Amino acid sequence: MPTKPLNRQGESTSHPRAEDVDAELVAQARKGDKNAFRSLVERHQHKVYAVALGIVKNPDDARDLVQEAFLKVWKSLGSFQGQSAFYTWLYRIVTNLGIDHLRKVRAKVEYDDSRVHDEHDIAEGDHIVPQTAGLHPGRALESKETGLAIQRALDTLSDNHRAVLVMREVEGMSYRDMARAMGCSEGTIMSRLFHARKKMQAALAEHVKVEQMKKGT
Amino acid sequence: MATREEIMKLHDGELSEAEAQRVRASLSAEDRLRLEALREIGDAVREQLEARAGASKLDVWAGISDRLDAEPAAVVPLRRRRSIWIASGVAVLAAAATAMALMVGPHRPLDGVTIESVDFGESAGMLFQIHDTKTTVLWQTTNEEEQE
Repeated sequence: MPTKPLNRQGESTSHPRAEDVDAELVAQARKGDKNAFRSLVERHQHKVYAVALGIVKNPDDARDLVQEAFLKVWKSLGSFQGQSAFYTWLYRIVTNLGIDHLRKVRAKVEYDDSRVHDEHDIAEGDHIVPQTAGLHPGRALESKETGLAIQRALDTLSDNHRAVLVMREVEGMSYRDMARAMGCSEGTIMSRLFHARKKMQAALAEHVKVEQMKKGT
Repeated sequence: MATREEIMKLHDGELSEAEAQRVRASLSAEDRLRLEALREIGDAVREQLEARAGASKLDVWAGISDRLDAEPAAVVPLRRRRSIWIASGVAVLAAAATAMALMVGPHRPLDGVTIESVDFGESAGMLFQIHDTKTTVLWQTTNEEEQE
């Protein structure tokens, strides 16, 4: 495959697709080109960190996971066949590391409420409320308070609920892939996802209600 | 009116094109609001995590660049082949290394061999590194193998 000149961010003047840039950088990194690998790291580190942060919550743990993930990628580049996009492969690696981390931590946790909502336990008639909180598409974080409310809501989710939500909403993983990553059935994934979303919806609705009350007073 | 499961699967892209078309055609006004609520929740989660990550001063490269030299720069991918002698050779090596790992403990350097689990995204596997010969062997479990 002919190579195009790339700058530090892995961009060329012809603006190729991000996946093509990744593929080219991967090809160079497989030959031992550390600069190419550095470009891959810099292109993806923030998104990978967002995934790690969403799964493990603690920023220091998330940083460690991101480093570990990229080291694993470096060691395994020779086996990467390019059947999936590089970022998909990378996000799976950091997700699996995050889930392994949660498993270790979970041994110390006395109670995890996701166990209550694990299997196919969605009550008959239970549904996502047919109402939005009125956040603007693409501008959910218009106010600092909204960002804090979303973060608080995420923090109150159990590890399992938060992990599936992040895998789905940030990584776009399929039910099948999430089930494989978490070692459970697709039904369990759907149940966790449903309950996580219900809790997030309730928290957002509560936040909007409080904000409206503040404005009204 | 669509079911709860259909709405979730439609939102998450888990339906075939034909199924998605059928469900879209059956959506009530309430169902559409539920879909909109699901989109809103997804946007909120994604935007918050990405904003938080973006606000962090992150320099992963500084943390890993020194460690790359200690890692194998190039590995020999050993995928499943029809040649039985290769499969047999790797199987013997894997069995020996696994036995050593069981005796001494996982993920520790063992008398010249380091064993580590590796995630390949679509599949998982083990990495055996023989220090004396600087040989690295990757044992990858493919989907095809898992189904067998």
